[in-house]
Amino acid sequence: MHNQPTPPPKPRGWLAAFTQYVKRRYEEEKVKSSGRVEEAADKLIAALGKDLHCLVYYPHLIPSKKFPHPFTVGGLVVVFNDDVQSTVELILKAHAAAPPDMSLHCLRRSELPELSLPAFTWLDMVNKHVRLPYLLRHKGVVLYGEDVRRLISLPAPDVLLNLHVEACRHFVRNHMILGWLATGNYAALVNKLDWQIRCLMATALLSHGLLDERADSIPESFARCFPESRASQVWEEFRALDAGAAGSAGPASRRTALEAAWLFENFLRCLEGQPK
Amino acid sequence: MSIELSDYGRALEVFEADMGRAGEDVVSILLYGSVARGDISPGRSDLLDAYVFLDERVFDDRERFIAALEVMAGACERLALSGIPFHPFHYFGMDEIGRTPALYLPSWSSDSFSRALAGEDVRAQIGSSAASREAAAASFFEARRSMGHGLARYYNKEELTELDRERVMHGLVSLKKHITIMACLALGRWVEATRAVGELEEALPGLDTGVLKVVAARREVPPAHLDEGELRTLIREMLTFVEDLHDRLVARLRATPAGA
Repeated sequence: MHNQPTPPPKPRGWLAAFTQYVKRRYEEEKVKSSGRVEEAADKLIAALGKDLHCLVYYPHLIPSKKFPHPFTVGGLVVVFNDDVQSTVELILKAHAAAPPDMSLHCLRRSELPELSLPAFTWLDMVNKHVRLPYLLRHKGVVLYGEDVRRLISLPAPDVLLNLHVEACRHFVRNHMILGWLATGNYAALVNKLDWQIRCLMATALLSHGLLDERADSIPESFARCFPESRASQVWEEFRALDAGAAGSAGPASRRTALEAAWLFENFLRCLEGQPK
Repeated sequence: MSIELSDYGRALEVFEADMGRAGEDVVSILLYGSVARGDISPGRSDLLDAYVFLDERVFDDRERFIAALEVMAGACERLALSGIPFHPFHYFGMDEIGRTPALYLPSWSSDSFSRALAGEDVRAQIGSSAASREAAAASFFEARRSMGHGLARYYNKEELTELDRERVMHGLVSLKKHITIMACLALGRWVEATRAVGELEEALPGLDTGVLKVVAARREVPPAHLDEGELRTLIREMLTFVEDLHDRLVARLRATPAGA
């Protein structure tokens, strides 16, 4: 008689309840999100009529700690026919039809390569833009018309990572670090730097073909993919910071925020030297 | 509180003194924007468009970095108390001076657009990576969709709240400033922001820049006093400008690539 493998223990008590809750929330959000996408697609198709060439949905814009699963929000690429003379009316109609919290990219078919061009812009835009071509190409869902996913070219991951680091150096240091230290917004600063590090890790993971990363599993994947990088050690130090202290009153909270800024700088410098 | 031109000078003196507490860890403080150009509009021009360059060794030592950060954050706190519209400045290590964002390179090319406030004048050393130059030259296309098309969300909204009006006006002003310089860079014309509109008019004959002048004139009006109908018209006109600029730009680039 063969030995039967021992099944993993079933979660019990609060762990079971929590696991059930997470699963339920995940499925609810997935369904709700799909419903919203279908509804948006119907409205866009009706509004744009014969001028619409195709419509592509892409899930999961950026790792979100609030909604860590990959089916939240996302965005739509609305492709007009090339013979459209004026795009202004169509853009106004498209934005009226799409949910306001969903990213919308409107362009003619011949302009699709513009989606893959690098950009230096506000950090919240860079956070969204940097992985867009990969999400469209590999995770995009064609909702209407031609399947244009093959036309999306993929920029080199190391170029994207360096641009992401450049945008962080430019915008995180002044608006976030100096701005929130000066206004005493210490807890927000620590949380935002935590989130920004996860965004950078997600971009770094493109070089290993990883796209579906959940916010809570990104650091683990990063450590696995870059075992030689000191960035993972820096992240461990960051995680060990007492985030609760940053939310309390007194000098300890400021010190925690200053330490967080120091570790963030270290993380950026580690990424720049990341083995490719 | 009424802001006078002299308040800007006093605020800069206080800032320089505050930053002096970091000693030799601050290598250079460079100003750009309206304060550097000498075209301050009291009460409207903000502080502080500046690059602060730190000794690169600051980034090797935890306590030295934190001490420098405390000095810079303290300087920001004092500037914020001046009553002048304020946003924090940028800081870099001297080892990063060749890797600054290329979008802003034209600001460092002339005394007309920038100047050293304190320390060494390191403007000649400021540079950018090839990838950063490429990104700057291509940024127009992302900005067209995010900044330009983004305003369309408000066009069909039933009612524009005061916050909506403020956001629309901010978006329009931001587009006027940034989309024009980005379009110049796409054309391979590395000019400073204040020269961008003239440069585009010269490069793309027939481009109607009228809406930019209207936005410049209306930016002084408090959001609550902005008429909804007028704002919707401005959104449509700005969108028309952005799309026209895009189409002319693409046609020009197809005919003669920027690097050619």
